[in-house]
Amino acid sequence: MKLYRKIFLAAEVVFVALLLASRFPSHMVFQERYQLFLWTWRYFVEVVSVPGGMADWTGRFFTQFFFNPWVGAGIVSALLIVFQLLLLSFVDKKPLWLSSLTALPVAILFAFYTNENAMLSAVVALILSLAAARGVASIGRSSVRMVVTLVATPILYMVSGPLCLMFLAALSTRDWKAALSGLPLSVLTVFASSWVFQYPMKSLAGGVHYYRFLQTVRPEPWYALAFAAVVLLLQRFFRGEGKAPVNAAVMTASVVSSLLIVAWPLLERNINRQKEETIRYTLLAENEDWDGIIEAAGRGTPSLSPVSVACLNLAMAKTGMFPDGLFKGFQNGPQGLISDKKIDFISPLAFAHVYWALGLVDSAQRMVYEAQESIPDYQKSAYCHKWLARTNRVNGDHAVADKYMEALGHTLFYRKWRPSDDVGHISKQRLTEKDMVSSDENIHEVLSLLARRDTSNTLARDYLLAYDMLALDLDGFVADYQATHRSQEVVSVVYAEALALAWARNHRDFNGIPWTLPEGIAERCVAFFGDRGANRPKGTMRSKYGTTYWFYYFYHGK
Amino acid sequence: MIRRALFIMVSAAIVSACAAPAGREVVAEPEIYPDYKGVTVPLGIAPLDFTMADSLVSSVDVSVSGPSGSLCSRGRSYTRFPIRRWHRLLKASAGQTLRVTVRAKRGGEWTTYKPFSINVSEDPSDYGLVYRKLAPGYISYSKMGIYERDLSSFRERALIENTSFSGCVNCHTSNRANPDEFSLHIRGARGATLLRANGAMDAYETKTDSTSGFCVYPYWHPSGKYIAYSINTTRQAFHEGPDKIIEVFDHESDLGVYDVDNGRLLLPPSLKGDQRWETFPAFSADGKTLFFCAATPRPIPDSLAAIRYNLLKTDFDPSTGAVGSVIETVINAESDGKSVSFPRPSYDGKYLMYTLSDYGNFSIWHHEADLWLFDMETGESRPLDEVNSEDTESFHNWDSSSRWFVFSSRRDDGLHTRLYLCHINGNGVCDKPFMLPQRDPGRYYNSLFLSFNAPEFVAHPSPFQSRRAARLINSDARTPFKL
Repeated sequence: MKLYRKIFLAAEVVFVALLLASRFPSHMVFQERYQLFLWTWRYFVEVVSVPGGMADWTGRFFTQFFFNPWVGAGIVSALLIVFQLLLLSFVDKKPLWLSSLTALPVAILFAFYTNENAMLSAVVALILSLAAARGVASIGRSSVRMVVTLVATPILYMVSGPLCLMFLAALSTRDWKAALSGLPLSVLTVFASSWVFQYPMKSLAGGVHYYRFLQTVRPEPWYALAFAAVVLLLQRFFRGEGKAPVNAAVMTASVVSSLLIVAWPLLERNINRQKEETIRYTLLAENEDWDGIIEAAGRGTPSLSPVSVACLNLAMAKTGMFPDGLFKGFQNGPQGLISDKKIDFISPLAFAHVYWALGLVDSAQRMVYEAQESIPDYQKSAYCHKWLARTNRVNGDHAVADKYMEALGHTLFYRKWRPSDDVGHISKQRLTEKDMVSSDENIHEVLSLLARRDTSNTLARDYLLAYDMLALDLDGFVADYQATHRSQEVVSVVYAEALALAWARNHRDFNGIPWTLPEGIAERCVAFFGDRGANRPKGTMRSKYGTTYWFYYFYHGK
Repeated sequence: MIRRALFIMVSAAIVSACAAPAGREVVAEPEIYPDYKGVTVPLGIAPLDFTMADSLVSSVDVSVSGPSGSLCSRGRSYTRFPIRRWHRLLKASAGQTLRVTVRAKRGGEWTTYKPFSINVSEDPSDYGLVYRKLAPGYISYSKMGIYERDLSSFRERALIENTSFSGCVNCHTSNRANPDEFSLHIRGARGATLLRANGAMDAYETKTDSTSGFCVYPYWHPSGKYIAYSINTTRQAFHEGPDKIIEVFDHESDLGVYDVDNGRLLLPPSLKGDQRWETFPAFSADGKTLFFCAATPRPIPDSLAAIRYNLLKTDFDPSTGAVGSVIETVINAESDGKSVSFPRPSYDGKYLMYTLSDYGNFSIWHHEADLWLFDMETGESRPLDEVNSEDTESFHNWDSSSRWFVFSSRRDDGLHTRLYLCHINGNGVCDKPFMLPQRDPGRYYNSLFLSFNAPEFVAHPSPFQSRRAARLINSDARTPFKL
């Protein structure tokens, strides 16, 4: 390989890695969160016994290193370059412009991997297929090559899945007869597999594990294969190295422009800003980086998902900014505090932190279990296993906790992990009422029980009162405030706003109000009602009262 | 010369495998997993491989001897008995006892334990088991399926897995261990009931304009002409506090009888209405009685702990499918502050096995749930103390001879249900049950985060066609239950 190509490829690795690690750091960690790679024979057999299983196992092997976004980005970019190098090996002695076209499928795959649900098995499948094609192409006798192709095609389907068509496409550059004979066999193999494997034909023909959602076949890996096949086909028409019509600078320019022209629209399509934000907030919560969440909220989008709001509220509670910070940011109702409504593989993990912080161990465990069971490609999660080991240990279910620990013992990076013994806040705060049934419907009841039983449980109290406020239940707020009120307590501004509002509903002035409100609250409340009575526009009201509970109460959702 | 050397080597290997290594002897029986000490097994059962409970054991040498033969296994910490020789040994030991001698190496020292016994029953069991394997979860579900296990070996095959469609596999049952007649309920986006009867399989829509929900818990009439279904509106709730996890309960439930030949769902007035919640139907062995559980409706979930189901029965006319208007109480569990679920009459008509728990009908999540046996002749019930454990015993089914039954229990780790097979003699006395055998059982069960659920015997391999079933489920066509 000529020096400029080496330099160019190295630059490509760095470019892709930098872009992935800096723009999509959460994606890398996210990938690692949703798998449990076990170094056991049983796990290996289980994974490889599905079409494309070997590619999937290899992809999962690499993914276990993604807990560090830079390592993850490096691995993705390295795999993309290996793919390109293998492609180049089939067009190595062709004109430079043709070689430069190999960057197109790489660009498509790069865009694919900006989607957090894109699995590494796709690029691994292409690499394994190209490597197999290299091996078969090197066989001297055409008859042997033909036989090996026919034997290798169904095997490669099991190894790489339907992207094994790359094998035939690459082989066609050396032996089009062998490649052509393998084509009907590959189609037959896909049909035959439907008799053996319990997957829909769409998955068996489109790839079982190239994308996290098994029922979804994403087009990007197939676009990449198609572009690669076109490049390989074109090279048949340009025999010999010939005189390069363009120089290295042109090649570099073509690759960069292909990255921009091809990858960018796909990349933009793949990016869901709110999902990005949710993933980032969830990961920050998992790392208990509360300052990080508050900082992210400060520069983030004004409207957050319930999951992000829940993370932000917990972060404020953990850093002492609760309740007065409650209405300084976006709120979307009680479901932004705590909820078990949305069951998928992302949201419950965020709410598990809230339940855990409140001492609701069973609910935290339920959330984590739901998240793990919702992983769309049926994998398990090392992260969830850690959680479940911890919650089962706290619950005294040691045999179950030991099972999770034993599974983690077969991983590379969690084998020495042990649940922390420091669960003091849990044992003090948790409910003892055996028949307390917890769900979204009675979360208020649960919070009330926690806060009233132990008035030093400020987190439970803050969540209870915030729940009342966000649910616009002023009567409930007043009752809960009085029941959990401590003597000598300085009323926080937000609580005072709610109390003032509750009083103002039935009184002409604030004479006789039973609570000592902070200075200025009563006057501001009067001013608010004055402005509201004067039908001031919402924008004006927001600028004057946007951080008050009054504004939330009257204008939220309107 | 080579042959001779080979003969010597093979002979030496056999002798050394069964040779008793020198070491100390202890009077105690070994601690093994699963606990197969003193169990009774059917003739054709797969080898009872076991693992030494002591994780520090590095080698184990086990000999199993019967009246007319023996075999041995030597391994690291678990046994691996050869299947054919195991079956030959069992066949030669029918009605007698096998003596198992365990020698284990720990810290370089061999210990010989007091031998324990395995009783070989002369009563054969059915060909295999069909069960569901799924994670013991809450609402969401991952990969799951219905599997068939050949009891004479370790072979397990998937009848259907939810990888082939979007949804979950739910209640399944065959007719008295005959898998030719099979009902399977699918929940989710592709919800349907798959029914295999008269040699054909089809997908049905079981919800009608006159019923509150889908047909859920099925029980075949012995003639194969009817299936009794419960029609439940089921919900879940979750505990917040130690010991309890999940509650599954009904908001309403009725019973219906599906006439297979005429494709009609019969809704007997005596089993429909708001004054009672009926569920878990089961036909008697002669098909002339319909047993079911029923409770007085109460507000849910506030009065959940006060909902208790009794066992009731009514007449059934197999010639017309008519259900009697008189309903009798067979077991009044409510008066004892208990609740009955999963009634299963034995096929010889002598007994009815059921689960007794503190309240509700989904005893699977109740740690206190135990198996009880009702004697049809005497009308007496007794707890199966020889079978029950401190943890949940719940779902159970008889084999076609009524001399074996299978049940699920959480006794293993408190969460994941495992299957146990148990012999019951003609007097209704049970022998010690044994856990479903697996190769390298310690590793198998320890690394399995799935529960075995709703087990039942099958007399022969199921003709269930997975591909056709998946096609039926994925299609939009559903044959409606007519009224």
